Amino acid sequence: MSTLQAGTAPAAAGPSVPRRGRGLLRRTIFHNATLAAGSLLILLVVIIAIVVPLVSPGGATALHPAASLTGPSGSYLLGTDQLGRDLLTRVAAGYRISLEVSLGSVGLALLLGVPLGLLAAMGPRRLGGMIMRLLDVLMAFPALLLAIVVVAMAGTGTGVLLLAIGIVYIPVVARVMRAAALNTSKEPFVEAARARGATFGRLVLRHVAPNSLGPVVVQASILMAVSILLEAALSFIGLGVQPPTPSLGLMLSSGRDFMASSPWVVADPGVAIVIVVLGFTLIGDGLQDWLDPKKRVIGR
Amino acid sequence: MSDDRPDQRGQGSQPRPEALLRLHQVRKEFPRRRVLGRPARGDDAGVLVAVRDVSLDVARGETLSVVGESGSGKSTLGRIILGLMEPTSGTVEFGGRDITALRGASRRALSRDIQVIFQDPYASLNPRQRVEDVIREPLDIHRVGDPSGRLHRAHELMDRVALPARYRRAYPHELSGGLRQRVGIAAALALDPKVIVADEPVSALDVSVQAQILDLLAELRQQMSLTMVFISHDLGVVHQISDRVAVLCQGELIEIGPAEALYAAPQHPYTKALLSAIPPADPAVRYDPIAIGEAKHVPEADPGCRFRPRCWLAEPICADVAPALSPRPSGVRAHCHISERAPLTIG
Amino acid sequence: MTMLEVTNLTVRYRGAERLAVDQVSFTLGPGEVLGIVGESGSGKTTLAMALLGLLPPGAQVAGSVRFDGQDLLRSSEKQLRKLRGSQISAIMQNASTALNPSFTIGSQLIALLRRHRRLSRQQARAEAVSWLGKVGIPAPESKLSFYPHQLSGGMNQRVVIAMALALQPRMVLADEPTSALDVTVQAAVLSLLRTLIDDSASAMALITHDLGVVAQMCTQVVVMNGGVVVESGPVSELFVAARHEYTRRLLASLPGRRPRPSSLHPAGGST
Repeated sequence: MSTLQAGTAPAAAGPSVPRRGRGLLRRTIFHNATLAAGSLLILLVVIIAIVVPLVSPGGATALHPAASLTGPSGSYLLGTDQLGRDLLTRVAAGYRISLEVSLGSVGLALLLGVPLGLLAAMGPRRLGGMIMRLLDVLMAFPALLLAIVVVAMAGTGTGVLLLAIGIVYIPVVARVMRAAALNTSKEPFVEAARARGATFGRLVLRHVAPNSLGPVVVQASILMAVSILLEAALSFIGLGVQPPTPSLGLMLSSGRDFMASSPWVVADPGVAIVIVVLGFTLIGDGLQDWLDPKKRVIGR
Repeated sequence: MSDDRPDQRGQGSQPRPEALLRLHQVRKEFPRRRVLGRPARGDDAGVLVAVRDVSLDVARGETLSVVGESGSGKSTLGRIILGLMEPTSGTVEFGGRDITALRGASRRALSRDIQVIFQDPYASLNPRQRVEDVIREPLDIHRVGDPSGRLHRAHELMDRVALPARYRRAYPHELSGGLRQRVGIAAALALDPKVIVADEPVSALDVSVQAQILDLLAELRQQMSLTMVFISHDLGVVHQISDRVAVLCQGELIEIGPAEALYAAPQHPYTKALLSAIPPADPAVRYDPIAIGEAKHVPEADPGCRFRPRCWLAEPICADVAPALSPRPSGVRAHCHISERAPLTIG
Repeated sequence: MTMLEVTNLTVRYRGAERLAVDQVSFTLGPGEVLGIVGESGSGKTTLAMALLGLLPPGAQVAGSVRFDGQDLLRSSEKQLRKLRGSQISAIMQNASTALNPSFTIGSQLIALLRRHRRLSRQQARAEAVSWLGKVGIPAPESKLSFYPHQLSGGMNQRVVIAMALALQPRMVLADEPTSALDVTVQAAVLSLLRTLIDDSASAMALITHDLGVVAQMCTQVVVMNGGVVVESGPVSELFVAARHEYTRRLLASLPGRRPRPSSLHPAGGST
């Protein structure tokens, strides 16, 4: 059925297409409430991670045995743990680790996953098949298990953690990239470019990739959230970051014994995790809304 | 294969001297996938013949329209000409050169000579490319001139297709269907091609816009001495712009000839039915479409005319012997026993 | 009182600047076939949705759409549901998407019959077969168990027509019913539609962009452009003496009415 165009110009084809004129902010970050909320949460996290250590450098590991297990107060905004360490600075430091690990691992997954996915979609059929089978094998391992194996082989530490989680996510990214690229490759404009003599490289880089990164970005933001959980889990069981470096997971684990009497020791890192994970998840959801319904131009 | 010179009918097949593009016995088969539970389609469940041994040629400077309904194979044929698809058998010649088997760089080089205008103006432009970049891209790909020269040429082309300069840096979604199609046309003209294959270029546009685009194409064709292959399902639309018309039915070329002759006195029952099916935009004119059934699958082994199940003129010979594309006094060639004996009358 | 009376209908979508439909008025009586002509953006689809009570939430509406005196715009969903299918039915453009792909066409047709009429399963089945035959589907009994994807577009559209007419509605709204079909199939479907409408004394509102279809199917016509009715009247008048400039432009762009460019390539024998 022929559809109606509201207003004089056809609706936008997709948000990532830059629009001229004002309202850029409203068209991007504040596009919908979910995206805005998620962005604000992450902004909060980033501010805490950056600002707090500047205010009290070294505070994350400074021991104040006299003030151990004190609740939130004027001098210790989030209270202290069993060794008298200020929990606010520890949470801030923990945030830094979390952000490092999540950015790093997702970055690695994108770095390798995107080209693999594109190759699988656009390259020779057999190569694509081999790539996907290889990735299938990788995906068959539960994330946690795979991470444990990598850590067991390469030792602990932030760098290794990053690598482990990144490896686990490569197949996920590649799969999403491949599906999106496959879809886009069937669009008439790709065929048109091919008919005009475009080489493989140009087709992929200029036509297919830019128009299929949407789902990948959404997936990436969700992976950010999950990677933080994964890092926390690994640290919790002792395979991640090692003490005294604060990681949110580690804080949870070491605070377990004092949960009943001093709940803030566990609540602080717990809530901190929730905030950052929620933030990324909301961004992911918001991005999905942003991309989906406006994907196709409304027209005749 | 002279088909429209009345003085040459009856002579053996002579390729017309100025044929720029020639298709010879082009056939395209697709493997048919059997889906569990669906009734098997007879004995040849293996392949679907989309294009069946089609031979035709296009002279330099002429506009040949390839007309057919869905399933006729016209789009497949278009893709084969453009090299986007390989024929299962048969050849495509351009300027006397066999281009069927060309791949890679040599095929890409050919895109300078044979260009395409696609159907869907909404989907045939990269949403992330500005208008001037879309038009410039073919020049970039083939490294024509220098970068600034290419931009200039893109702007020139925009003028040529009457695209206002204010749209130079616009994105496709900011333009209406008709304007987008102009962008597509400009991009097709960028390399100064010899042949343009237009695949349903106006089907997705509003009626009033269709007229504008067709006029534009006619004008450009004139100015640039283009050779055009115009693919369409709409016989009404192609009447304006065609020198010759080829009609495809279920993959077969069933009639081909000068536009006027074909419209005035079609010599194949299908063409006749197709023309009669167009509702006349005049309430005073009686609408009496000839009833032919929907396309039916005819087994590969069938020796006779494949249109027979739908034909109201069919006679016994039609079941036993397949017709050949043979000339008629009016100048068209038709694939029909009945009209071979006695030309079909109008009405 | 005319069966359908649309008076000053105005529709604005949520967040839109301009009106989708602007003060549109027309009437439709029994036995009439009204053509609603327009291109994209003319408001014809919005008009169709308004007539069926299917406008999206948030759309602002003014004016009235009276069917047998009852204002559809101010009726409850419950009241509308009673009307839909039995009094007012619709034929949409793309038949294959109008039918539920997960159910056989037989079950969909039978379900429709049983929902609005008190028929036993046997009776409904027999009706369904009869209707499939009426719309020209060969071997109708066997087709009952077919799924939409097993039939061609033309066949599916016939099924949709059967579903639209089976309950003998007073009014049928057809929105570009043949635009997605091949021209030979369109011809057959239009003939069918014409016959059935003539036989049933239902009225039809036929939305189309094709003036040929209007000329052959309609008695009255309304031309829309930019949400506004620019011309209306009997069909014969429109084609002979169109008053509005837009209508004349539409007529002028019809293929048959434009001069063939004289200087075409003289490809051996052609003019």
